[in-house]
Amino acid sequence: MNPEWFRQWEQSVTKWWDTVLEDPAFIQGMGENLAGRAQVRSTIEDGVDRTMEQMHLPSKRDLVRLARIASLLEDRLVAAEDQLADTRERLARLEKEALEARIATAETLLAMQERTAALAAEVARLSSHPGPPRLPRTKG
Amino acid sequence: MWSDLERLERIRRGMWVHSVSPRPPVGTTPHTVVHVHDKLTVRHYPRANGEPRWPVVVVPSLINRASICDLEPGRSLVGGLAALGHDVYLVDWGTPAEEDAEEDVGYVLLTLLHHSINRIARHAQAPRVHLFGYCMGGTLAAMYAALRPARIGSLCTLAAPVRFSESGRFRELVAPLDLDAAFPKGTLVPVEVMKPAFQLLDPAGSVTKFEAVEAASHEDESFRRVMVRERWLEENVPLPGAFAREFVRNTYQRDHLLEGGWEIRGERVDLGSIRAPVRVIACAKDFVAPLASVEPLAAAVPGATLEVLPTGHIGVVVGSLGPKLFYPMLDRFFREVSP
Repeated sequence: MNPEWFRQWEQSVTKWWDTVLEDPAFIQGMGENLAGRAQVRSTIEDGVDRTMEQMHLPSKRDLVRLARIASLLEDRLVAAEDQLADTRERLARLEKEALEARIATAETLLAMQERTAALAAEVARLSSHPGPPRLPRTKG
Repeated sequence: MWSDLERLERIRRGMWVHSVSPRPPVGTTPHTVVHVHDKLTVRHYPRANGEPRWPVVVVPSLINRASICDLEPGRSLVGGLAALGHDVYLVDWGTPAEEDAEEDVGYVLLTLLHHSINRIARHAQAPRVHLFGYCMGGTLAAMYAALRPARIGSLCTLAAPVRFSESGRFRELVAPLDLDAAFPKGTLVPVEVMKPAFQLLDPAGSVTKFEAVEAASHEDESFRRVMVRERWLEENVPLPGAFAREFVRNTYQRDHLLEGGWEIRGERVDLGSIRAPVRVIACAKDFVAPLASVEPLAAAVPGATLEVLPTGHIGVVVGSLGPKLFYPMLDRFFREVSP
């Protein structure tokens, strides 16, 4: 085989392919072809399902329906678990805030008690003090 | 110099090697599962050192495996950030089944992601999280930050499109779709439909990559690296039809996100209302989320910053630039915006 001839053939085929693939009509046709194949497959599967139903056997449709129900139940379960986790987090946050508030209150109370005790001690001290000496009355 | 026929032969050998080679394990960074909700799993990658900080929540796309964020040792986003001192939580959306077909964008954001972030914050004992989203995960992370800002300490997005009129070839592919006919009620968008759509973005790459596979096959470490990436590319994940209809309609077809025209469960998504620090990272050579579709987020959010990396869509997460450039960049941002 003549290598030059082969090279020219390869170049012209490549050019032809490039032209064809840029042609919207070709691309559209390929798209429709792909859609047709999907349709054919769907029709065949429908036919098999109908045959199974006529023989009173569980069809693929039945199994798919059951699997879909299981899927939906799982969705609800996951959503419920998420809500539960959210609620737990919120409760934990509230507990933490409540604990912090109780600690703050207890500290304030303690501070007030200490202050009150200090004031009481001061009052007691002042009460027990004999006071300043009485000066004699002057006849005036 | 090899001839073109030899090149074809290398591609052929690469295809053979690719088809017969076992796929290496992924997602091997040690972790614990901290939350399970239907198909969704949240994995915790504990920090290697340092004091507890706000955790990093990684949100990947819904249409690929979350293992993109933990592809291999040394090039693992979650492992890299954990080694830099962050508690990382990866949201693995899992693989939807038929019963998940009617889960829309609101369910993904306001039920799955919302509960996950609540659980993560509780597990990490932190009031807020750093939210990092990649690709569609970044778009969703930005939407979540706008709708539920309470626990969002910062937002970082990588290759996350928000201006979908600039999304290039992918938009041309899905824009004309009749979504209700293509993805009827009760159905998933199967992998067999999504994979060809992505391959159309780079059809030549789907063939020429085998040349790289063949070249790498001569050395164990290089080959393992290439096959790890191939494993992730192969493992697409179906998408709930309701999610696909709503997402494609509001993004690639009507481009409602930036202008605030998208309502989720009655709430308007207003990206401009995000008040957390935001870093938008775009990739200059990205053809999945082109630069022009990503950078408008930086303009929409007050105070947001934009960083443009010289890589493609996945290179910065799983390539050598990850540990050298990208993970330290994220580490710096999270530390800057932490209290």
